[in-house]
Amino acid sequence: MRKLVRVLVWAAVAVAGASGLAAIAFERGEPLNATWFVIAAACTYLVAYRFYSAFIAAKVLVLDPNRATPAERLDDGRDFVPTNKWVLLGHHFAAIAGPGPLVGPTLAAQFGYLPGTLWLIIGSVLGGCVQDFVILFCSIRRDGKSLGQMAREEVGKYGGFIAQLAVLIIMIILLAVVGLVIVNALKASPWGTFTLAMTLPIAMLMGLYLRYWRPGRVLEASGFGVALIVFVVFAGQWVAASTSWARAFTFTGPALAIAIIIYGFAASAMPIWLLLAPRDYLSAFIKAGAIFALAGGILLVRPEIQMPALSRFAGGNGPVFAGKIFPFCFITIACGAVSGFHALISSGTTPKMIMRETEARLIGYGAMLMESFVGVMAMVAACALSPGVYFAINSPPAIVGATTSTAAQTISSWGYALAPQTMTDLAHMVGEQTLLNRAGGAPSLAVGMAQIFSRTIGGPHLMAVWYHFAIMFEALFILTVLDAGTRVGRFMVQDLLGHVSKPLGRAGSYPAVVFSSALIVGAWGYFLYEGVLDPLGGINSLWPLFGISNQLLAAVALVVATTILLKMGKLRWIWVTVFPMAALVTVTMVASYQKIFSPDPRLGFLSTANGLTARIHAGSVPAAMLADTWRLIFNQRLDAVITAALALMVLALVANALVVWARILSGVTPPVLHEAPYLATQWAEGD
Amino acid sequence: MRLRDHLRKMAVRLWWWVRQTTGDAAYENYLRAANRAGCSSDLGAAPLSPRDFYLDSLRRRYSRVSRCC
Repeated sequence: MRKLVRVLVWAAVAVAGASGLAAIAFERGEPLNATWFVIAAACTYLVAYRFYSAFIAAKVLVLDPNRATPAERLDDGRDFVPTNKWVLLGHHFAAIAGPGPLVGPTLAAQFGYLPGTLWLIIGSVLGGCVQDFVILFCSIRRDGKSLGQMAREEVGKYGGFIAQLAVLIIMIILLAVVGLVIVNALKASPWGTFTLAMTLPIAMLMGLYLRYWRPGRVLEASGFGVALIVFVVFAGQWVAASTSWARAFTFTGPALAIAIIIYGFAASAMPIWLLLAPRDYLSAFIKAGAIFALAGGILLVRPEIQMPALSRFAGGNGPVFAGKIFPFCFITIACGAVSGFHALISSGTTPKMIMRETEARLIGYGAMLMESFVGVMAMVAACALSPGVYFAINSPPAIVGATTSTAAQTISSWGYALAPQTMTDLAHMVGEQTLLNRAGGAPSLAVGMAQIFSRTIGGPHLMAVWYHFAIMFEALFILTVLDAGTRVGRFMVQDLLGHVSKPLGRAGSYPAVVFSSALIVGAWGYFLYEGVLDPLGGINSLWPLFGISNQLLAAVALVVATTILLKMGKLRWIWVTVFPMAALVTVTMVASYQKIFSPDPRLGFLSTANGLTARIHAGSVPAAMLADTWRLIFNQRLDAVITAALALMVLALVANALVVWARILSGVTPPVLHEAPYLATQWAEGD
Repeated sequence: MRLRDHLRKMAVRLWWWVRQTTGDAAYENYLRAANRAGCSSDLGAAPLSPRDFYLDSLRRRYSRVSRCC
């Protein structure tokens, strides 16, 4: 009887999920409520978790609850710490949830709501969750070894080197692109800039409290930190209303870029306890609060989706970024569906804290489902805006013009009605001078969130506060990624420099720290500054570059996972990792090829460079613009080289893996696994 | 009465989860691990002070990829 009830309940969940997916896929011309997105996503995730992840756990990985994990065998109270599975789920989710699943879906909304939503749901269930889960399992079986170490041991020495180099390049592109998102959100915004600037002294005050007064009392420090943050979000409106204060906090894009570069350098070289760690605590609390508030707001308000299922830009030539749905929807969504970066977390702290192998299913697969759900909510918030407003916020001036009237005229000519007054009124409502030309996803997401929140609490007159709260929330945790990423990048640079010069590799040497910090900050700072000056908005070239590199890292992780499964004798189930791996390699190779060689100057790096060179030689570039144009040409060629280098590295790794697989399958090489020896757990069931 | 007990238990459990997840209870966990290990092996002769443990945990956390994109 109980079994029958279970079957009926799961059948009902599956039917509800299928109905949700059908509603969003087949709805045409009728108002579509956001509730369908929530039903489609939540039910699909439940079914996938209940059946697909259980299948992987039982048949493919054969998780063993009686095998001692590294947390039990190597427990040292510091790195290896046995941790309750629900606590670890919180830790792991906080670590993997960054700005990517918010920004990516918002940008991908230019294709319409359908392609991005489907990829968020399907991509995570069959790709992202599988990657996180399998890599976590592999790392647990290897005493918490990193992806690079596993690649070196299981695939070959090239694998490890490629993974390490790919991570460094991704880090540089990632930091540049998230910096650009902040710049586009804060330029000419005294309220937003003031709020974010005030988070510095607040974080430092928390740092002093945690360091000297109450060491490690995170909740106390975060409590007063969050209260002060809420206060400065409100206080920002007084700054914006005061002529002199507003002038002091109004910056151009290049000025903000320089400020962020200086900040990145300082944060990397400063003691961790003073700024980085307290900001991370603040960011984690505000992130959790904002995500829950957005989910609650969507369920309460149930906004109608204004964006069409497929926009006129599905075939390419979109104003936000160039390229067709295939492959650029997948590249743009990135972290919300599959993120190579997660493999670094799944083979970092988490495997050292897990108490039982069987818990890898909840933490690896489950946390990624939660992240994907955040991506779906971001898609809903962006698509609840009218398409005209969405394109006005996210399009660069080179395409829609720099005034409300030219933008309204251009966007209306695309078939998305927009009156100039709409943008003026909206900017006024959110307390900004303008919302035009703010490519990057953060402002349009903030407007979408503010509309949802203000319909829940406070009404239209709180819209400006909600908007700036959303901007502060996005900028705060982007800065956390910037701080932490710069610091890790610095260690990677020092690691590489150590091979050339021993003193430069010393982590404790201050000149070495300053030098390597300058190198890593200089690298991402260069891309950031050039992105700010890019007439097409920077996001057009940087976000696809980030997406390609992130998805290539995911391909690396899945190559490692496939090799390990093959060595485990799981040839029958190898499709579990081979299918997403093949899909990612195909998508990224097509995207890389198009970004390098497409004849469309908005899409192909080389055709842009060649077109500009031809214009210089034809004498159609004014003398005053010559230097800038040459710099733009150089940058396009540099982007092409980086894309080609990443693609070649992954092709080399895949070729290396194919040789290893062929040798194992033909019996030439015995399948040697590098697992830690089996040891039975000493913990009783229920511990 | 039973409902109140139930709610109190839930609140205690939630508070425990929040403290564990945020790292507020990290030092207590460390001391427990130190006691289990009898203050031996790599934990050193004596457990770290709260301040030293806090700084040590930050140094280790931010020396590797701890936040994702």
